[in-house]
Amino acid sequence: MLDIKLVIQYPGFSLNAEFTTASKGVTALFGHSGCGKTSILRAIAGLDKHANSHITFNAQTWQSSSTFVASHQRRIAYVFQDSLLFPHLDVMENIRFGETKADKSLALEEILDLLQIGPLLKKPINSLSGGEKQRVAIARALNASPQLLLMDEPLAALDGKAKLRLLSILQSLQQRLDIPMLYVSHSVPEVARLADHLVYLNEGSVIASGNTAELLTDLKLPLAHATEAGAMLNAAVVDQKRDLLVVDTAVGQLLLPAHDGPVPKELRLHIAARDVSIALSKPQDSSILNILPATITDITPESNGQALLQLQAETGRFLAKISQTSLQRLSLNKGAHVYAQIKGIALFL
Amino acid sequence: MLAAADLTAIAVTLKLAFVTTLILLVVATPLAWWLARSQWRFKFIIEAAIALPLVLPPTVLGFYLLLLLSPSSAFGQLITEMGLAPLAFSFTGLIIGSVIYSLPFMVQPLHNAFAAIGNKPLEVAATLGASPVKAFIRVALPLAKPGFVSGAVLSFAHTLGEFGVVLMIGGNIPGETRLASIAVYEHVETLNYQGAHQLSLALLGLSFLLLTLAYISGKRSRIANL
Repeated sequence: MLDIKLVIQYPGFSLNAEFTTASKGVTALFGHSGCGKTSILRAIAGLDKHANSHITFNAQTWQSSSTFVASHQRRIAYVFQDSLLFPHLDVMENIRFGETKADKSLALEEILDLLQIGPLLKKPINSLSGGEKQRVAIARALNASPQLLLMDEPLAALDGKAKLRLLSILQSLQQRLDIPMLYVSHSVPEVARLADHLVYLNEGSVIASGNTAELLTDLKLPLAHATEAGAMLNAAVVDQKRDLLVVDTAVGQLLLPAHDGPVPKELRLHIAARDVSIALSKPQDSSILNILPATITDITPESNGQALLQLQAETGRFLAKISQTSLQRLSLNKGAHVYAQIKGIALFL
Repeated sequence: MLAAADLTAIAVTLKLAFVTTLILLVVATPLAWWLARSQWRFKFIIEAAIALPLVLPPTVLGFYLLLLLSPSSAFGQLITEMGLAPLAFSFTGLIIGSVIYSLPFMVQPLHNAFAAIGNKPLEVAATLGASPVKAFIRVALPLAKPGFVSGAVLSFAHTLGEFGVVLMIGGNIPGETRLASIAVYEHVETLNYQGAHQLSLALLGLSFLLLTLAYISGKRSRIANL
């Protein structure tokens, strides 16, 4: 568990952040550029020292008024935005730079496999693409057997295709890793896909922190109003028919189109707000597979004549974006019982 | 062919350049590292002092060294009391003079090379658990290799070309302090133009060869670091 109380003062910028992260899983530090995400990560890594700050990790004090543990003694690993491989070492030498004999949660072979390093081993460092460099950098970080993995927007410098590939690698990594990971990002889809917990920063202070699924659907936060706004759901596959997957989620059982290739037992789904429409009675003659009974728990108007609804079904929440006209025509209010028709569900494999 | 005395002079010169370069590698590395990393606001004073031999007439430097090394100075008396031979007009004296005289030629390329590495690779090393010593040896030193190569070649070549300082503190003892540059001067003084030609040509060739090697290696390492 990471416990942080950080005070940073630069000319023209001040940050006063206090938060605690879970001892397992991925915690996203989310916010727009300039909100202090990287400064926080650097302070946790011990790369910068700020007065009046306290950092403890699993009962070890890393920084207090009387203590400052140097970076190299913190058992962390840091993946920088620009991979920063050592140019004088080859791929394997880079990966083995921080290797220790200490308790290894992942064996070297496993790391090479997870990050698909095999084909890169013979390539000179300076001929690797951005995505390949970042894979080597992540492998190098993991191979140092850290107890805390820090990632500073590792996908920001990559183009679309490389970004998607690394994102799915990170997702499989997140399932394999038993150490906590702190992931800095300003991208809603990335956070929805990877993070279990979220710390939402704005102008140097924490405005919300908690479960990602809850924060993504909280209409008071800007996250729910992003273009890609939607709900993130963890799903367990319970049945696999010929052309359909049956999964259990917090909002109820859902049907997904079957996917070519092997499907893991655990999935993460994304239901975009714009893919959900509302009916007052259960449609009997609809082509839509997933129709869930739900209760409206919150409503806010959006720009462009739209309205955003927060819906509760069983123990989970999701969002629907409908027009203001429909809102008035159906006279929808908080507490109304409706049927949500889900047109599309994105599957994160 | 070169006369035996001239060959001896070249041998003494090469020996001096070699020993000086070795000592400079040891002395200049921590100095250059400190210059590249220190935040001390008056560090420019040290930088200026190191650069002095670049602008000072070698005779001025030689004159002060002569005063320092002579048995009558405080330093000279200390040397005598320790039971050591006087340093003026000795090979050891020449080494001291050369190290000071060539110091900027080693410090400046190293300083630039260390500064060019920047903070980032060292931060990466620290986050991977490397202590400052390990980061220095495994990251800073290899990345500064081009600086070491040019520093070593420049110091070596600069010591080969030393004249004024040697003239002041070394004298002209064959096999001990008689360097090639002094020998050329002596040949000209005694109107032995043929001897001067031969020795000068040898020095010219040697210097050109050294600098060519330096530029080749500089080019290679730049390519490798792209």
